[in-house]
Amino acid sequence: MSAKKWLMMLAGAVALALALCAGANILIDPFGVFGDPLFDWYSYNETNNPRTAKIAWLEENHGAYDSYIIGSSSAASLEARTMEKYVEGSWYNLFVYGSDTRDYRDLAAYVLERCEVKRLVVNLGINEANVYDSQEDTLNDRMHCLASGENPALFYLRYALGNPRYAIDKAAARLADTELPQVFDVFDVPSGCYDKRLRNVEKVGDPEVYAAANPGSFYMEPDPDGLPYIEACVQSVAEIRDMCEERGVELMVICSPVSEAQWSLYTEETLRSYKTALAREVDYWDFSCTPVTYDTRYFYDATHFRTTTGDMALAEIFGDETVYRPERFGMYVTEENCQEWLDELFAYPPRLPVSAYSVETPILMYHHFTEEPAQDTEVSPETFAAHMEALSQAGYCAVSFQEMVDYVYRGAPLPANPVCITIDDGYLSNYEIAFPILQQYGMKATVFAIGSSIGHTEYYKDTEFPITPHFSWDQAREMAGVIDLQSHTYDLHQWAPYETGDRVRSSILPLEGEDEEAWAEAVREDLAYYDDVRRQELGEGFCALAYPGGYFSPAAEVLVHQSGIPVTVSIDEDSRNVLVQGLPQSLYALCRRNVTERTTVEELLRMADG
Amino acid sequence: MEELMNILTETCPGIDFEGQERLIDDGILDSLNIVMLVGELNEAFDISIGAEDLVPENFNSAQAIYALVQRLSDE
Amino acid sequence: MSINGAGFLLFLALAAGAYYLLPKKHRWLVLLAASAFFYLAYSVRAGAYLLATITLTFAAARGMEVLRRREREELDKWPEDRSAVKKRGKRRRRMVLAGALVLNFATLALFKYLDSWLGTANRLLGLFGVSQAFRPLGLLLPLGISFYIFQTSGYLIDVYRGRVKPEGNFLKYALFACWFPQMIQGPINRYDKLQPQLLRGNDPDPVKIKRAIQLMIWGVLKKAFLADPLAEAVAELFDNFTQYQGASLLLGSALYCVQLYADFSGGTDLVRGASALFGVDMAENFHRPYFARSMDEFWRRWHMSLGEWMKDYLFYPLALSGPMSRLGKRLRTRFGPQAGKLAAPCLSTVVVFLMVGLWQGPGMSNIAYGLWNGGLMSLAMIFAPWFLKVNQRLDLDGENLPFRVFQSLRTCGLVVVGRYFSRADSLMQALRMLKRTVFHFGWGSLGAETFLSFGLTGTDWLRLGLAGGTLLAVELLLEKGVPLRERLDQRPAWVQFALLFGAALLLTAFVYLNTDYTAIMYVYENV
Repeated sequence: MSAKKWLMMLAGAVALALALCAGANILIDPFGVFGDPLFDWYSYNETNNPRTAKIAWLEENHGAYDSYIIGSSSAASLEARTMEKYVEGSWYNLFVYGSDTRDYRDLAAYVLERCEVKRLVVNLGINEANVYDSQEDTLNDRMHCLASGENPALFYLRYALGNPRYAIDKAAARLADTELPQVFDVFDVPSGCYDKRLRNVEKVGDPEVYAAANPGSFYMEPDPDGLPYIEACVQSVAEIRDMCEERGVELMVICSPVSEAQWSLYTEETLRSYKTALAREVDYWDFSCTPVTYDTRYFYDATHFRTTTGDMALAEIFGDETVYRPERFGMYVTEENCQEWLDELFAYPPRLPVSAYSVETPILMYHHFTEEPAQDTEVSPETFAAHMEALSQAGYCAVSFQEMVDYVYRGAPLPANPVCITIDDGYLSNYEIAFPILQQYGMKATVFAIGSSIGHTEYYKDTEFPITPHFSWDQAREMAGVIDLQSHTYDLHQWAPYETGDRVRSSILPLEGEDEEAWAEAVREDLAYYDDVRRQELGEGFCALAYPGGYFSPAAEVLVHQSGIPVTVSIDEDSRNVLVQGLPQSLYALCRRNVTERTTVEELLRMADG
Repeated sequence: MEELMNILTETCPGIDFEGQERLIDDGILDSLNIVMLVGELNEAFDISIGAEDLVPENFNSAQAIYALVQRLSDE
Repeated sequence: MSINGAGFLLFLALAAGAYYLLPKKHRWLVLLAASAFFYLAYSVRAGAYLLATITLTFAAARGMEVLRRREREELDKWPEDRSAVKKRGKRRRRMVLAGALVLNFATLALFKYLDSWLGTANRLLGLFGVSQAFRPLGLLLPLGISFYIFQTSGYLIDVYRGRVKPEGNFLKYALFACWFPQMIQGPINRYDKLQPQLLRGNDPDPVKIKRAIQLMIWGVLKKAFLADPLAEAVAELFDNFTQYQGASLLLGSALYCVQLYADFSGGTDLVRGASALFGVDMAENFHRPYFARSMDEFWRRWHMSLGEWMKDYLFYPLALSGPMSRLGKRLRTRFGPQAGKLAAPCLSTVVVFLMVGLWQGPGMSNIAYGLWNGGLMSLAMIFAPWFLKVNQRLDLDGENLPFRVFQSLRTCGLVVVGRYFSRADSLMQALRMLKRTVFHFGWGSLGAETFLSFGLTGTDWLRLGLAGGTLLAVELLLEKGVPLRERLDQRPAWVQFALLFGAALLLTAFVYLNTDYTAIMYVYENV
């Protein structure tokens, strides 16, 4: 072969290699700029770069929305579905992580130009005045050419000839994909929000445990520069306001909750000048410094408020009285009232004592009552009576799970010295022995009953295996008001030796090697069926579930809470149950103290003390 | 020439100088050999071969070395 | 401009296009313009330093030429005083040469060594209570200074010796001094070899361009798939050597040998290929060094252009100098003829390698590295007759394969030990690492976990094994005399295309489009 021919072959080989890389980039499309023809996986693409993938999504689907939220990652906690609860319309959260007000302006211009928009919400934190036009030049944070005005040919060429590793990673992630979000697919595509299903089942309660679980999350480097981009930020907001006015679009500006770690970085003067400058251009809802500012538990980290904190803000804006929020939570700021509001804010910071919105509620755990206790799960009537007498005399007040839920969700009061008494499994002894004793001492308790064994007094389900007798639905109705029946699952607490099938569900966790989807379906089915049964028998669904055997996982938590049960209970003994108003997570995976025949009154009172 | 050949074979035993034309180019004569050889030649013929004379052309063959010695002796 | 980025390829393509489009007579101007652009894009200030060196050496060479002309005129005038005139002329030229060389190497010392030496001086003075007597200058080290200083110095010595006629055109001379492919990490070119090629105006030769591209591909592959992946692991082992057993440290030094070879030879291949695109062949730097059977041979096959430079401009002048021959004579009368003969070469060898060590850096560890190599080679010279005898006694055939393999492995072993000194940050570190290697070898620790303990995963090893194995196989075949490239040329077109496509895919997907990969600076870049 001649050298000339070789050189031509070289050119061909290089062209082919480039074409192959480009082909992979286009077909696998890790940034969602080419329509993602193979996978149609926007959640992944948006995780890689929301600036490209969300706009690509809107190009296809903007007809489905008429209202948009713009902001950076903290705006993810203003959920589209919560907006829809209060405002008629369909919302899309167009937040983009790591963005600044220059991006907001570009994105606003884009949606106003290319989509049918009725309402626009712009969310501003503190950081918006701290960075401006910080966008880097990588594939991960380049703005879509439709919003940036970049030459489309260059834009698409850049992504076609992008680093092929992204395509390889996406293909690999596809194989590892699961139903629940993973680090590579964190978006809930239709709403544009983060898919926080897993994130939001993380238990929050004991402040010490929370601090230990999030080391460094609430530390921020001192920022001696103050807020250098107040002007640019306010200017961008003003441009967005003008664009909205021009098109008759309703604009709402929200200054979202700020953590103390971030708020205290800046001087009063700096913060005042930011707030004042903003008020000169637009009216806005200000939640930046409220009682929640001073409690880290309302934040994921120093710069991100929780979804539930966002829900509180929206409830305030739309006057939803069923949702808890503290006093002095939020203010509608106009140019007129701005100074007055700031004067008050800085003169009397809205800090609340922790006891005003948070209380510790220990939970005691019993199982079976018998004259001759032989195991740690069995307690004699005398002992139980002594326990109840001691609690009542010491001034403890037994509370139900519904009361705890009301406290957390609605801010309803809880009696002083609350304690929660629980009895697992639903044995007949609960009715025969515990019920009268509770009545006698004016206490109340919750029984976590296994649905499939309610009313079974002789045999395990429909087998010939004898079991400890369980009370019936009639008896449950009779006990109402004193003993509340809650879920121990309908049939996810199977007893292996007595089961006939080859698949034994002894806990809520997946069976070995079980497909995630099949497992989730089985759990959902069990929960929904039992809930239906309770509705038929007692008129209402469940509000608490105790995990069989105490076993659970984040995925199980997701399923239970999605089914509408706000409280989950484990058998862990190692931490305290601290209920926090406005934080549903403080009702998750609650701990219990196991009470046995040997538990002395002194020990019991110490347990009830937390 | 004879005296030269004696010195060559004595200083660098194991190297065949007869009929070799590329002693340097083929790496047969290494720098150690050359330095030792030059020392001997300077001594024997009372000449002064300098670093500037150490180019392959002057050492590629016994003939070339002889020519170099001749030239320097004349000066 | 990184020579490993796509930008460099674009630059080459544009420069080569311009070169071949222009009339022959003016082609060298393209080379000069490209070189100037390349260097100024790196740093304008460094460009000023380079220009100063070019001007100095150009003027010195012209000066020597003027003196030579005057000498000729004087010879014509006084033919009877021939030797006196010649002597005088030589002395004058020597003055010019010495002056220029002193300035040239002073420049090098200023940029490369002064700060380190000031630091040492500060530490020494600190012992006497003087704190921070000297402030480091913190000068920018101009790109390629070690190479262009050596190259221009070699040129001056050649002019002095009358081996080359000095260049009369400043721009043409500037091109010789700043030819861009040699600026990253050499090779150190010789004026008589390089200059004619730069100036003659080459015509495009497809065969040559093909070879050039093949060389470049090979160089980038070595750098990206062998040198750089090893660099981090080697750094981990050397930086945190106290946390590793001796066996790991020995492995680390061996890996460094591989890394350094792939890095240095890969970079050299790339720039030699780039140069050859313009029809300009630069000096070779490597001849499969790890197959060398002795340290002496190793140094004739490793960084050859530096070795040649040292031999011609340092070793010979030193070994043949007056003091050396007097020393030889004295030793001869005292200790016999063998001692007399070996004194000059041994001593000169040690000096040369001290310089090679210093060339790498200013530290004590570099000096130790030089001594290690120089010492070993001197010992080899001294004991050569004895080795010969032992071999004869044992009836060893010096040419049989097992013995040759043994010799190569022995050489590699000595090189590996030497690399402790050249890679370590300080002499103390090198010595402590050697001590660990000997006294805490940790035979018990030899297992898979040793190989996985410093940042290389199983997959990394697999990839490195594949890359290293390919390199070894290719070099073995070449060493055996198999003309691989010619063989490849004869394979069917589809085989050649498949290979080309494979290489192109590796290079596009993992190097040129891969934004996560930034070539690590060459080890000898900017020394």
